[in-house]
Amino acid sequence: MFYNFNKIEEVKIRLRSAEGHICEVEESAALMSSFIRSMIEGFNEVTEVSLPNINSVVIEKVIEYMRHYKDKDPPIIKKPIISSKMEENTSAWDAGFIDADWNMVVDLMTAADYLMMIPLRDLCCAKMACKFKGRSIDELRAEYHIENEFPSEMEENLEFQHPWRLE
Amino acid sequence: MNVLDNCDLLGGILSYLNPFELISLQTVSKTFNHVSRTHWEIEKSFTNMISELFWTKDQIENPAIKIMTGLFNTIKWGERLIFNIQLCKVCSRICGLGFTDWVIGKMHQSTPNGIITHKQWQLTSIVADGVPFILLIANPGGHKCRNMKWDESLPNSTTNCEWFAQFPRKAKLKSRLHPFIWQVAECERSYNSKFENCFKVSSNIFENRICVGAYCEFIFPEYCNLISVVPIFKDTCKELSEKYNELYYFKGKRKIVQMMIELAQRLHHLGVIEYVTVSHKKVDLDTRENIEYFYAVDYLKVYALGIPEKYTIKNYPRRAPSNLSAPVNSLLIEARQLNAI
Repeated sequence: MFYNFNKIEEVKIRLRSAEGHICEVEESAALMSSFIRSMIEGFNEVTEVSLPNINSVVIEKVIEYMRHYKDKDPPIIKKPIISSKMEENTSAWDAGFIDADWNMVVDLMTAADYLMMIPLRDLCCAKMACKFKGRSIDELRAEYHIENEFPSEMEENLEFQHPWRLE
Repeated sequence: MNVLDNCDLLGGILSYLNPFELISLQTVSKTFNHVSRTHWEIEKSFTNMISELFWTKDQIENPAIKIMTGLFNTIKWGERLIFNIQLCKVCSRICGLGFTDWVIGKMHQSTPNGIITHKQWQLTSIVADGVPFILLIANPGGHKCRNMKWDESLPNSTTNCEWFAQFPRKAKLKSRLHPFIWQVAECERSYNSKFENCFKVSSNIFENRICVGAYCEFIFPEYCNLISVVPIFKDTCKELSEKYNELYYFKGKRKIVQMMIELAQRLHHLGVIEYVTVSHKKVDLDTRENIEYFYAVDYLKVYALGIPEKYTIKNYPRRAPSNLSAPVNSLLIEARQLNAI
């Protein structure tokens, strides 16, 4: 096996976004994604991976995460979360990184799921759980445009079972 | 894609919430309902939380736990308990559910023929022997004595500790009661004034058994040979409240009762526990006829599940098992004598 010890620049992986833009990331960082890893390991000399479901803004965000954690393990967020504030649940860097609007967090979570990046997906899940924590049913329905799908009979039944749930 | 309609992702999100938050969220939407009930992550989350709740060292150091442990050390496991338990009609396993005054009363009123049922559960009674896990669900706030023979003349608002205080032969009673029981009575006295606004939860684990309690209550030997008590201290509640975002610091009795019942159901269906019982059962059934009716109904089922005959309701509740440990047996005798006064 031949190693090029004189190599100065690390191999870059080109990630092609849904819009066709190319975002480059160092291979060592990209390997955080099991999906990309399988592409690289499965096909020799692959340097470009198409990600048609992920836009370039999200890919850049994912790359930021990859680069930060390429040499270290992301912190594990304890379940259940102890606070609706992310900074009380995880590291300051993670909390700052995921401090984004709902749509970005959703897109990031979906991307992490697709890319098989469990720590990033977990971070997104925890962030969204923070948004749920302590919220009433009505608040959640209103904020996320969820229709009340339950027939009144079922509502009553649930109310009977858990009379405290609305308190 | 709406992430809230994706069961996998929603499951991931909800796995970061605790079980009681999940229960609250079940009615947000059908997907929430489905995921919060079935997603394995949720169960894992629940199990993790329960483990953490019940197995931490600081819990063992809790004074309430020490009393509890003392109680259980005094009375040998498996020989002292006549539990009211229930059979799960869904899975046919023996399982109890934490009935309380409120639940039983409510259900009893709601059934036209006076049969007390709660979903799939029915009431029965055995002596628990070799039970791997016991979840004791005490009866928060259920310390009124109006249904007990001993204090029929007392006003409804009278609590156990008040009853103790009023009992004309208090000193004698104290000398006759099991020391742990008296200790519990003292606890009740201490906390009674704050009780209505502060329901307290405690937990314990000893050996391989789980005990959970909210405020405690006597089970009088007339109805049950177990006197199961979980004295709760304010600090315990505070500690849990801080740890779990005040979920345990409820202001309403119903809330905590429901919470504990949910807890019991979940634990049972997760296979964490087989038996659940309450530290308070007996007298909420309106009449003895009803009690006997239920025993009769469930007798065959209990027997069919392989419970030794000596542990079935046929021998319950008037005859205590002969192998009770001396302190308990003595207590029963004394209590019956007092009862006859």
